[in-house]
Amino acid sequence: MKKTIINIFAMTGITLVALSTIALLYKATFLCLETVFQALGVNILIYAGIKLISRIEISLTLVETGIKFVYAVILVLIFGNLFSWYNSLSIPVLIAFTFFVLIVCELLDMLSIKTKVKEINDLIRNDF
Amino acid sequence: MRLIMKENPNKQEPEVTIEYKELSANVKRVSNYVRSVDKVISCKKENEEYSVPINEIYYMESVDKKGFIYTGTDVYQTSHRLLELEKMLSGAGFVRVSRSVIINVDKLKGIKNLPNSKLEAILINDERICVNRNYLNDIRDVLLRRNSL
Repeated sequence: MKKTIINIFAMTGITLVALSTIALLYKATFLCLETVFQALGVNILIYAGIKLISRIEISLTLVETGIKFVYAVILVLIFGNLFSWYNSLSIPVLIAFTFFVLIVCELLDMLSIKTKVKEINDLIRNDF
Repeated sequence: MRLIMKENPNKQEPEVTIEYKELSANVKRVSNYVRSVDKVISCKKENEEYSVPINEIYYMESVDKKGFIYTGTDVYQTSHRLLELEKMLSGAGFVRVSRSVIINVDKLKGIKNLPNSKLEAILINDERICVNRNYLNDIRDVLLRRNSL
C-alpha cells in the first residue's frame, strides 16, 4: 500500500513537471490548482489500470506495454474532455505528453527492478 | 539467536531442540521451518502414488487446472491446487513467481533480466522459469527470512 501511494505521487510529480515544461514552452504564466488534483485523480486511475493489466500476465511484453499505453491514452482523452484540457493543449500534444510520462515511469520502474534483481542475487550468493 | 551444532554419531536422525525464553515470532518462524523440512507432498506418476519430500521439489506449476511438481529428475501430478500448495509451503522457502508457478528458493541459482524487460529465474539444474516482476518483492522477502534463520 505504501509503495502504491509513493508510486502514484511520483507519477503525479512527473506529470506536473512535464506539464509545467510544456506550459513554459507555450509561454504560460500559471498552472491552475485544480489541475494538480485532476492530474492526481487521473494518475490514480491509470496506475490502478496498469496494475490490473500487469496481473493478467500477457506473455508478449510489447502487447502488454501497448495495452497499458492505449488504456492510459484513452483515460487521458476522456478526462481531457471532462476537465476541458483541450482548451490549453491539443490532442496530439496531450497524447505525446501521456506517452512521455509513461515512458519516464517505465524507465524508473526498470531501474527499480534492476536494483531488486541485484539484491535477490546477492541474497542467493550469500546463502551459497 | 545463537546456533549450536553438535555432531553425535549415536543419533539415527538429526534432532533439533529450540530453547527459548518466550515464544516470539522468530522462534515460531524457526520451528515452522524445521517442521517443514520433513514434509512430503502426495503426488501421482504413471498412476502410482508417491510421497515427494518438499526439499526435493524444484518448482510447482499449474497447467490446464492440473498441478505438476518438478524435482531434479521427475515430474509428478498432484491433486492439490497451486493456492493450497502456496499456503502449505509458504514457511518452507517456496514462493510464487508468476500466476502459475511456485519455486523453491533453495533451488534458485539466480534471477536474470532479459532484454525484452522479462525476468527469468535460473534454477540449480539450469532450468529457466519466467518470473513476473510483481513477485520480486515476495522472492526477496522469502530469501531475507531464510537467510535470517
